[in-house]
Amino acid sequence: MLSIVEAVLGGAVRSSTAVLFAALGELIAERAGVVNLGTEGCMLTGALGAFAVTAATGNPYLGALAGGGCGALLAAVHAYVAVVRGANQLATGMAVTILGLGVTSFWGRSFVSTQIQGMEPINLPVLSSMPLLGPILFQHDPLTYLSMLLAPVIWLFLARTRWGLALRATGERQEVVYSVGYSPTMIRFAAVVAGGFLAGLGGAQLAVAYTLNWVENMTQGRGYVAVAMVIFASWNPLMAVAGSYLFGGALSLQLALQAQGVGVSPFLMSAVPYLVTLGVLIVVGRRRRQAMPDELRAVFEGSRG
Amino acid sequence: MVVTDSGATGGDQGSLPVPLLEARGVTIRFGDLVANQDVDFSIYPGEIHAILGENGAGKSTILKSLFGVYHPQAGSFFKEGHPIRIHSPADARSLGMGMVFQDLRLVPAFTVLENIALANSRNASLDLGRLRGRITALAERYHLTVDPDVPVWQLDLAGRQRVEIVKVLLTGANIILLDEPTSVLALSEVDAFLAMLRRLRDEGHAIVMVTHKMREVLACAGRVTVMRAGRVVHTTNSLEGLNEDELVRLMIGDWAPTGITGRPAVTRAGEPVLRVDNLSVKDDKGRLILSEVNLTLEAGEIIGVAGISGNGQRELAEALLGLRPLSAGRIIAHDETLSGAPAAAFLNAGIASIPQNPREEGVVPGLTVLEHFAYDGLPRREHRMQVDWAALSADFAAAPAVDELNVPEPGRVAATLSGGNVQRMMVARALARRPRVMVASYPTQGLDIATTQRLMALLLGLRGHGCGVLLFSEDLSELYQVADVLVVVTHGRMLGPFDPVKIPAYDVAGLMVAGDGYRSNRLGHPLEVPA
Repeated sequence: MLSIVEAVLGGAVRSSTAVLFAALGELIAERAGVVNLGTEGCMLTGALGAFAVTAATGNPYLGALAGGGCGALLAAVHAYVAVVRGANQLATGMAVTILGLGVTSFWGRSFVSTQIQGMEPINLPVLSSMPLLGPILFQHDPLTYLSMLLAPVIWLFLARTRWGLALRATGERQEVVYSVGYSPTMIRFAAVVAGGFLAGLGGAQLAVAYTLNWVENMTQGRGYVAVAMVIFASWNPLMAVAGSYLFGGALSLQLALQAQGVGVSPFLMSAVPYLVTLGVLIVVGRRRRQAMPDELRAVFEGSRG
Repeated sequence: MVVTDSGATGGDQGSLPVPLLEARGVTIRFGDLVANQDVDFSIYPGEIHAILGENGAGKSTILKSLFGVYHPQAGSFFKEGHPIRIHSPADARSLGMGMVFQDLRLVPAFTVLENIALANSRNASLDLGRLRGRITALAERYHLTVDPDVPVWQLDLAGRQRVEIVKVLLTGANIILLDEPTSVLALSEVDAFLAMLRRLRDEGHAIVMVTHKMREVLACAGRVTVMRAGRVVHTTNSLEGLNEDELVRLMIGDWAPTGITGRPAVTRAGEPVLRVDNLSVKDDKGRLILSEVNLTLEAGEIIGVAGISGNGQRELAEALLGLRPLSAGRIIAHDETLSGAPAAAFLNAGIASIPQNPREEGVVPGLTVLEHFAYDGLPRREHRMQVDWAALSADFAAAPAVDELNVPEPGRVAATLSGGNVQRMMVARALARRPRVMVASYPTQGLDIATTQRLMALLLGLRGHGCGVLLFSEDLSELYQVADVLVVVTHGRMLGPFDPVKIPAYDVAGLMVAGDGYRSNRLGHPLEVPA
């Protein structure tokens, strides 16, 4: 029994990593006042980029880096159109996702049956041999560890550094940021591109550390789940960890149940994590809205509170 | 030589050193509107230079162009005699300028500390502990009450302005530009504020202050530039021989305000139009800010609500408009209990308002003036299920308050209006509804003398038509001018009613500052209560 719990929870952590990366990236963009619904597309391009480079070089770390770069590149398209040219963020984001899906489906065909040597899990010394917690938290691929470290790092960046403060202020009142001598446009551009890099890393983890293969549309809406998780997390990176692990937990649990041969259609079962996400949003609902950066109100409601 | 006060210059141009900062021939146009025409302006170290003028005279515009917000079509800038370029606020800052905008530039969701850190930090990592210490030290030195850890949205406008001033001082600016700084201050705070300006001046700061209040100019400025319709009409190097009348004449030209001579006789219908029973309200932090408020407003009556801002005026006004839930008590208009009902019921009961922060509470920036009147103010005009704009335009032009208050053209977009023009629009709109109850919060803020007088006449006109008016103000002369009854909000209570004919203004001021304690200590006699 214990080993099943360990397997489910350990699986939860591993399968959360991609969503967590993407959620942290989206969080950075949204704290700067930009919604990037292109996150899903960034994850896909990141996954393919990582897979292709890994297949070509045999080095999954180089692949992950390439994945991040691909995500950043696609996010730059969103940043240019929505931030620099001032187009509607929601429409632009959707278009970017569809572009990412199309591009990766086209260029990804030749990789469908390719085998790669992905990232190996690393058991952290001492920590991994702890009972229960060891197998759950400390027997994972390096990208998963990175994602765990990233949340507090981003929290510190936002709360304790000058650029974090300027980024948050851009999400609240960009004219204030301008009046103290920063360029809100630059900050937003950088935030969206950085967010795209993280979404790309998330996609890379999916491709070169988790599934180790390339499938068309392999992110299956995780980018959108990440957007939802940012709202769930009240724009707080530490809360985003909790949200992502909840999603990953549901994912892992339904996989375990399928493996046990529960008599429910696998298609219905794979909808469970998304239902959990919806449920969470209903519960969190309006209560958390106060945490929303003011500039995002302009995006969602056409006005600022 | 440093100009230290008005006497030192003696009006002798020759004795002045090279200006610290100078603008020559600045012209700024916004489309067809000429906001500044060939404006010359200079500032010397250690002086307070007031820019005086009516709304729309171009005072803020020249200030903002000095700070790099606007870019003049013509003209040049000099620092200590050397030509400079000011492309952006960042340029202005590096030249040693700091500006406190009229619409304060703060992030509401941030704490005071975070807001100040945003403007002042140049290192990658924020040393918030050290900054907190610097804020506290500076606040103490200039007698400013500033709590670094309060979120800015919880502060009133005067509190936000203190944050702005601390912010500017911490940047080490030696040229401080202030756009109508006293417009957000309570009357009781103005003297302390001017004292602080004098102290900054004595320490060598150059201060430019835009205002339209003569008293402040005479109280602290060393030099005055008077502007009218975008031009400088007068620059004086000394205030000697200038009095209030002379300044008014310079500001408004040959036109003189008619003024209101004495209050018209009370013609009260006596029927109560609004009753407040034992009302309690909480502020945004959930603290009880006013309790046990009882008030009866009769038709044809103006009740003046005196009090230092932040004593629950905003909360009470919001409660009376159905925008804030009551903690206890009832609001009754025309025998109809309104408390608990949605805001629409309050509107339908004929309650109109002039909000305290019109830009935040009443203005949709992207809509035109006429559109503001279309959704509230003028009666609905529709033709085949469409808004009949032609009819609305005619109604707008025909509305007496629109003409009387000089409301800007109907096609102007609200976002482009100056503070005074926004206020004109809001006041005219509230009047156009022909309300039975008018809740007016600081209606004269940002208005020049002439418009203030017209507004007061309009309020008296409302009263003459049987409307009940609740006038929130800190300006006692304003309250004494029009109020039939005075009440004072102070220390969580509403004191009164008092008869303005019988209670001296210094007693009201005492109650505003000291609350009920003043009554027992200073007022030996029982206060007169009108029947």
